[in-house]
Amino acid sequence: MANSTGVEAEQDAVSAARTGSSPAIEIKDLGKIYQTRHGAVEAVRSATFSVDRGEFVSLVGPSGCGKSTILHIVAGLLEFEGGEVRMAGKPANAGRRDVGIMLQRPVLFPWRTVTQNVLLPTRVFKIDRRGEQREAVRRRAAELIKLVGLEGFEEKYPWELSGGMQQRASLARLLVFEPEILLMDEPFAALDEFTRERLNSELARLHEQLGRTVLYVTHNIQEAVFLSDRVVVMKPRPGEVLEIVDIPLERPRRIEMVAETETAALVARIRRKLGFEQEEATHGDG
Amino acid sequence: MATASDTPKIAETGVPGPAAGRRPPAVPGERGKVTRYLWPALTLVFLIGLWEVLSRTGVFNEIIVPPASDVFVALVNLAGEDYFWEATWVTVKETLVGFVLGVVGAWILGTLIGMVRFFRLTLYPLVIAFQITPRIALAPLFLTWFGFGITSKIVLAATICFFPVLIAVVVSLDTVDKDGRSLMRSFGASRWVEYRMLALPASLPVVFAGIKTAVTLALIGAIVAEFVGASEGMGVLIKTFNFQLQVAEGFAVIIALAIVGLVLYGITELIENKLVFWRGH
Repeated sequence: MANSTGVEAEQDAVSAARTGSSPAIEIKDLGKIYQTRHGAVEAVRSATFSVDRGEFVSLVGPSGCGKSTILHIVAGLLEFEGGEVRMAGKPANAGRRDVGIMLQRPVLFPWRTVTQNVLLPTRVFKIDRRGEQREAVRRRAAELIKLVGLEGFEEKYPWELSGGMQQRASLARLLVFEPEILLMDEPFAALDEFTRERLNSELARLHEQLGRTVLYVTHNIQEAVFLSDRVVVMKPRPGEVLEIVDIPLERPRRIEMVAETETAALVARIRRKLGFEQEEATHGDG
Repeated sequence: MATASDTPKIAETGVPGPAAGRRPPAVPGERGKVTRYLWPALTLVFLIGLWEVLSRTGVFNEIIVPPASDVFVALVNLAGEDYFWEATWVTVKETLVGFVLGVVGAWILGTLIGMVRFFRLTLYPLVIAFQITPRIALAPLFLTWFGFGITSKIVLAATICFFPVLIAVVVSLDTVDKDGRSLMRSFGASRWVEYRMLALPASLPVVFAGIKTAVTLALIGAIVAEFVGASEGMGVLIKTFNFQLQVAEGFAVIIALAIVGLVLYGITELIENKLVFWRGH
């Protein structure tokens, strides 16, 4: 991706304002430098890409490519040095009701039941105060718990659930305040292969059903291809965008598509881009 | 926590019963309980028996180390005396009031140090330095400052149990889960909301470890302060009996003291189990 000049950026902003539909996520020339004990580390260098409303975009690359850093910046949890990050036309900021984040660990509070954990954001956002609101939010939580397949576990504590079920609860918590933009940081990476595959196909179904914008971080190329409309391929040291690959696979996505030639060709292409050809035999998908 | 590998199974069977996957401990648990109490009890009986024999046969001087049965008789006799119960009540009162003051004070100061950078920079180094000085050395000073009565004992008990709680509070706040903080911040939670909904409950298991140390220390503080100078309390009883060479009675008070300590510790643990029901997860 070429770096856009200031003038181009301005023109883009003007045209976006005119059409009234700025992209859900807009990242321009983003740079991030971590100050460590051993000096400065350039985590992200001039990353530029955007995510349209309702689009599913994955950031894929090996560890240290800055994909997770970008997600945290977009979530408003990290400062950045250069460039611009806009969400639905406004600067990235924590505490936005239209943005939700899901992390690799479920991060459920052990003193809260599944239902109470799912309701956590609504308590912080104070949208559970008035009578009718409270009722609506509770109904919504119950529906979501059902949707993610945790019916019957509403009053259980997180430590009474398996890892996969905990991550399902975490997904319900993400959806409870109806954010437009979902940021997911390797949400299923810590789970076993079977659970991950299952949850991924459920996520694909959920995305197609709810039509939310998703920015998804993963190091698993196949997962990225299966889920996404576009895949942003990144390389490490410094973290840079190598290529943005369109994924023209039909929707709804079905798990069988993983084995199809078209999918395999896309996976192979991204893999080649990341320079995995030689290591393929020993490394799998890295 | 169940392993991740049994997820598909649970998902397929739909809604498992409440006890699904949490069965095993039934029989071994019962046996474990017996073993847990039986062996220490047998050991105790054996040691008391040994003590009795050694005293009765004259290996120990009976005046300095009276036989266990004499101590038991002394304890029963003491239980019939009003002055014994009054002394016990005084010591328990000193311990409890000192404990509560120490814990509450330490919790507040620890929270300030853990949450506010200014207090960490200014107060924490002093606290650490003060922690290293043996607080028991303050007992004579407190006697001068607060007098012969109950106050000097309460102050020493509070001072002694202050530090383990304070350190536990600071450490627990320092180690609150980073992802949890990120999550709360992503919701735009204020520092106060983050503290109330995440840091405070998350810190409880560690804080209670400090509180359990504190309750035994509070009792030590009260007794030491009584030794240094007091007119009532179990410490005074122990000293008086020793002076009068009523060693069996002295031993009996020490045993009563151990029982008081156990009860206070037990109550603390009971509260912990109720409040921190998720501990270990």
